[in-house]
Amino acid sequence: MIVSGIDIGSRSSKCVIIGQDGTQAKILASHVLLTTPDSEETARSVLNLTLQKIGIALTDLRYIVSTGYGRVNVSIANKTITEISCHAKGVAWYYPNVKTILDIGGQDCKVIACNDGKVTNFIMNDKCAAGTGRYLERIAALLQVSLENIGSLSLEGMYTPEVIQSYCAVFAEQDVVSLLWQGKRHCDILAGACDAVVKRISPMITRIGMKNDFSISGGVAKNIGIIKRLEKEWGANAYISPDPQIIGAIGAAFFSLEHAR
Amino acid sequence: MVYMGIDAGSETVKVTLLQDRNLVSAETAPILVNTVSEVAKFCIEAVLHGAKIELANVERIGITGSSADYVGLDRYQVPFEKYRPASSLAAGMHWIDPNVHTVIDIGANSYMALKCNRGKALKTDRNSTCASGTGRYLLKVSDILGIDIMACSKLTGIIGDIPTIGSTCAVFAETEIISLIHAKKDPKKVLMGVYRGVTSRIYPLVLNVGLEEKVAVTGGVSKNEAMVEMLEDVLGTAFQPVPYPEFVGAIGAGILAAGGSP
Repeated sequence: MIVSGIDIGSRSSKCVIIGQDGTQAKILASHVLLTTPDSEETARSVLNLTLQKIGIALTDLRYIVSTGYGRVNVSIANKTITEISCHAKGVAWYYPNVKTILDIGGQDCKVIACNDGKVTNFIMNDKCAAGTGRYLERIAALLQVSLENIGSLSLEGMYTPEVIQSYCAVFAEQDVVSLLWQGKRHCDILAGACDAVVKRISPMITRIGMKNDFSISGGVAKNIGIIKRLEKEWGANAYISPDPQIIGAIGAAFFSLEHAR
Repeated sequence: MVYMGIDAGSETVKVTLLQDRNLVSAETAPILVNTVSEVAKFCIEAVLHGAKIELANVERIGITGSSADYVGLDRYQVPFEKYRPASSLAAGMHWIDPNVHTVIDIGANSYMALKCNRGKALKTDRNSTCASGTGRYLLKVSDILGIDIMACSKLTGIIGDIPTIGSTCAVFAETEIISLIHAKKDPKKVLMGVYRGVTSRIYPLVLNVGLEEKVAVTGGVSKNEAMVEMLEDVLGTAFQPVPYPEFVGAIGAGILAAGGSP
């Protein structure tokens, strides 16, 4: 049985196709695209591109679950499920022991408490760009550093960060511009930016409570600088799946499996 | 007796010169790539030149604003005093129109509602850490929409089908505005939606300090007529005219340096 999960995020859209043979489930293909203003069209493209990777047709899919911020616009989906449930589900497939998930996406940030893949509590910030992927994206753009490199660069400045005083992402950009004028090193500025993201998320973790086995998902989980800082701040090891950006889509695909049965 | 008032904001520096409590000269310049102290030096020289007054004749300088600490007044060998933005605004407003008791100040990085009487600040409420509703946000929006907001600040007559900007955060609002443009909405109507959003951020602050009979709006954004009109509409009051809206804080700092309001 072959099913799919589609996660239409605010910044990027993810599609995962999984196949189940007996009790063994495995990821057959996945794809990530930038979300365009037309989320219906984005969903169709990301799904088609994923199908093409393994050369199967839409009709081969038994069930599709959509999730994420644009999930309601995916008309080909059989069902919509919130990204919070999907992240808990997806992480549980890799790490059943994990009880706390930090999902740091392009435009929001969530702390999810879960047990056995089921959500028991969560908190989210989707009102303010501070502490989201967008914040890092804008600072990276100012520094002309690619998103993939900001994590490792920020580690070079781990112990010499330039503190970014402003809370707001817009004002932080100004702070960064003035740091650049002062000739500060890129890695120290990025260290300050990563510190700021962690500082913004930590009070949310305090409110939900941190269980020792925690996982980070969402696009920002690809940032090693954020991972190292969160581990240091909370004195715990983070479990990061091979592709943390597609965890929501993986969770959605597993929901598809359950519903298709 | 000559006193100087300086308001070093986040985006511009404003300098005024007062002789016997009359405004004799004023200058403003943007802080672009120059340092605050360079921009301030330019404005100080310009106001002195404009009034044909020597720096040595200035009794005292009053300074206010978020960048006040970067002006470097030590090098001018004139006594100076630093004042809070709210105190300066209250003193400046009293000098301009003593009957105004509620002031809304909208600057590049901040906005503030102030209740004042006899040149003293009684109560203030302001945004603290967030760019939403500030001049900077409006500038970003005008970039995206391709509308020069100052040149196109009269938007009266645009009614009906004004989109709501749901995001509070200035960053997310940008994305929302881009989506509205993609959806072929009229940029002028989108701009009205933005003004409405900004108004809804400022409105509760005004209610919190108290809406008195005579109200005025100051700061750079007060020169945007469409924005001001919408604020008037929401607050249900016509604002008192302010002749030099961006200089009120600088005038107030000068008045305070001269010993305060009489």
